[in-house]
Amino acid sequence: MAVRKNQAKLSKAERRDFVEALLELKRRGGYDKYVEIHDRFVMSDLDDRERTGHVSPSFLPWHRQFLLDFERDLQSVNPAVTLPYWEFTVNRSQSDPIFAADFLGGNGRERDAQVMDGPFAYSGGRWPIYFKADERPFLMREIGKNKGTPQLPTAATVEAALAAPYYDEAPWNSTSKGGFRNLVEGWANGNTGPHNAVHRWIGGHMNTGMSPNDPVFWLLHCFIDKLWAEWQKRHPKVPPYLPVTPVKDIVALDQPMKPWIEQGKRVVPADLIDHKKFYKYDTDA
Amino acid sequence: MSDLTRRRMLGRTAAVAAGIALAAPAAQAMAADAGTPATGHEHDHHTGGGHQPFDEVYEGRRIEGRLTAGGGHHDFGIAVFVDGRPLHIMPRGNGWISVMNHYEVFDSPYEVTRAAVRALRGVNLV
Repeated sequence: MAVRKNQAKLSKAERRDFVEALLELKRRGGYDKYVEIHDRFVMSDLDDRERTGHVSPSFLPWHRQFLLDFERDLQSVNPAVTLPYWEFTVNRSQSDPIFAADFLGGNGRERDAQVMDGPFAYSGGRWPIYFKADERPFLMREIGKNKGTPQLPTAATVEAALAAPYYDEAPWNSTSKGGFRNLVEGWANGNTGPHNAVHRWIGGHMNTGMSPNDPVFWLLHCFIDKLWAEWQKRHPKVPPYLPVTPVKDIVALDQPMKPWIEQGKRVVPADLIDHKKFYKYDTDA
Repeated sequence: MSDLTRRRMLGRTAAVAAGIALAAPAAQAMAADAGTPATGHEHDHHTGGGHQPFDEVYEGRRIEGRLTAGGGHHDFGIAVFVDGRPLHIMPRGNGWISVMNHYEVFDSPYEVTRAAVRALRGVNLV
């Protein structure tokens, strides 16, 4: 059983293997389809129309399957690699080793937001950006520069999501108030929740629809995925996913999700509730 | 793979731009005739008061908001441009997001367009 680890606890060799797997997947042409798929869903997920990847209950199972697919592709390069998670409530400084030159690299420069160091710097020639909203062909970050989000989400913000007594609620979109899904996705309470806030704090590509261009995307979403597991553990007597019965424009518990159903693969939220069918976290018993 | 994906990306952008270029003048004419801006049927909560068109220079870039017919697929009653290039925007909650600021909500198409200009650092949308 694969174990997903806290990125802060990876050995030097594990950090290197993860980075090398990303670079090799990119070189083989297997990386950018994830950027394309994410962008396609970002563009079509609307509060009052069909929505699957974001602003809807299936945000969590959709990204769980998305990460599983990506992790399997990384493992086709190196079977020992698993996705690490970034506990951004703990490792919350711009000078944290997560942003060191031997791992994800640091902030973008002032002039054009270009990341200048680490494996994904444009000068290294191994991380060209193909799916982009503007002309810049390099990875961009604007860490800590977003005026509304000068700091990463705190443990208290994450705790507020974990304390939610139910998974999600009508109208099942960005205006849902009290459920775990919208609290952790972040649109609730004036768009202050953790997932969205981390996208804004990193900035650059991470604040765009093409956010998977930045490898930090996977470490953020791995932690969000872990939070869903923690929320389930803390609330064992309530449904781990809602809605159970079909609602217009929403993926219910046993309904297939795009894009997988378009590829003839039936993936429903019910299949994805228990992560231990696929992998464990290093904190799991 | 890389070249293919890039072409697909550019192709889609070009198609969106062409569609908007054809639709915008007609929509503006309609709106002028009716005396009120056209609004998107499914997004009346965003457009109930009517979008305000705009055309001005912000931080050295020309930003435009052109009224559209509304109600179609991804037609929210206004199309916005930075130096003539379309910026994909969409309603979110009570506000607006764009492809450049996807996880950040702004009050209006005008504000989300200005935010995109700040994020662009002088380069063009594609």
